[in-house]
Amino acid sequence: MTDDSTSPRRSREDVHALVAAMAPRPPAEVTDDTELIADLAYDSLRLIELSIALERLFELSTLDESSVATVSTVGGVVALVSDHRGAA
Amino acid sequence: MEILVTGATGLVGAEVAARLVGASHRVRGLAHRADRVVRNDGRVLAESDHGPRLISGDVTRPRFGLAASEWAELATSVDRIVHCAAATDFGRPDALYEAVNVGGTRHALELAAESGAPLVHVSTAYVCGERSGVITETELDVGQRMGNAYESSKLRAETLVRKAAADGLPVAVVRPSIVVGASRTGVVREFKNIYVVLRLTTQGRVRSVPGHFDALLDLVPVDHVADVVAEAATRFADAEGRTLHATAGGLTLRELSDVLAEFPSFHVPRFVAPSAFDPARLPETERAYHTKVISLYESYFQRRPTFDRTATDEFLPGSRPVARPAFLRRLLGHALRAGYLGPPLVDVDQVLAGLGAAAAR
Repeated sequence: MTDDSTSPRRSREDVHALVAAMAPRPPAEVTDDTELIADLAYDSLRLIELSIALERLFELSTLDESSVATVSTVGGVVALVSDHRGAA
Repeated sequence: MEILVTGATGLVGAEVAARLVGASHRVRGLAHRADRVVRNDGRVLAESDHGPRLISGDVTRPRFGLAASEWAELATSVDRIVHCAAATDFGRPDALYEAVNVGGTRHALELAAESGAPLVHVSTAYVCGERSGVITETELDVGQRMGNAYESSKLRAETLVRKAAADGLPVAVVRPSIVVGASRTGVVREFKNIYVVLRLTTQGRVRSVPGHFDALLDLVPVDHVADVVAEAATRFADAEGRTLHATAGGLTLRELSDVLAEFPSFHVPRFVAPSAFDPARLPETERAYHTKVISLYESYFQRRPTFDRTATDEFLPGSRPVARPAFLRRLLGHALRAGYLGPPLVDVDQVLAGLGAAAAR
């Protein structure tokens, strides 16, 4: 399970679960194409809270707010996390 | 008159456009993503209904990114330019403020020079930076330290406007303080900036804030700002060469705390002397909020500026909004009714605990 948690598939699932759990409008299902603002009702502050949760869950260094603010879909969050984990 | 409003879809720009349309001027609105102009109360200003004609443009680019012919047509037809476009969110990259706030102003001044149309520039009272005490409308750069990158960019922009004025361009400057909801209803179209701090504190996410109890927060209703800007554009002869503070006078943090405490559902933040405040001692999540949000606003809870309104009171007698706790109650009441300051969503710690429990199963 520890090995598994670092695999890309596992991170994607974790990101999906986190984005869904934080969503102001909880979704029936989340895919990479789900829109954070239009579908899940995230606003700017909730996106900041999502970035805090991502940093904590994936032990990332502080995410740049501007990069979080420009992400629009769940898939974008997955990519952001894998970029930061790759960089770490 | 034909009046160009940049940033016409923004909070201030839309209200300015509405006033100019209401006074039977032909308004053209420049907007980055031009779709429609929504007033502060949610009403749409439709072009079909004598509303502003929207032009899709980008203030960060020379000629607003317009085709040469479009720019030339604009330069020959506009009688006034009202420059409202700005990046006002905090915590964005310095390059964005430079491009939008400084570059945008440079391009607006170029249009003014080319068209000969007078320009009303919307600045901010906080070009005063971290100064305290009386800030006059005539002062600009006195070597003050700036509170954040947004303020620095607005100082550079207003400096460009003053230089252009010294070179003979007809300009007027309006400096709003912190723009918030309507004076009579507290209604605001979008919750940004200071509202974010109010949400984090009243929901108990952030419990301590470095600040002085006698710091002054100058919250100005959006309708007053739009009144001053629209009047400056239409009565330009009276406004020319002036800088007008569109401000309300400050509320102290003590008054803020007292009003927050009247709302049963609100948490009231503890204001801690900045010298005794150490973010390292905050709980992990609150520390993250501090770094990402509160620190951007920190200096607003420490300064004591009093904005002198002599020129504005002369220009628009009797218009001065009153910074009373009653106004703050209306702002908070609206935010509460709109759900923005309502029951908090599940917090980061609970979400992480929930995911951890799910993973352990």
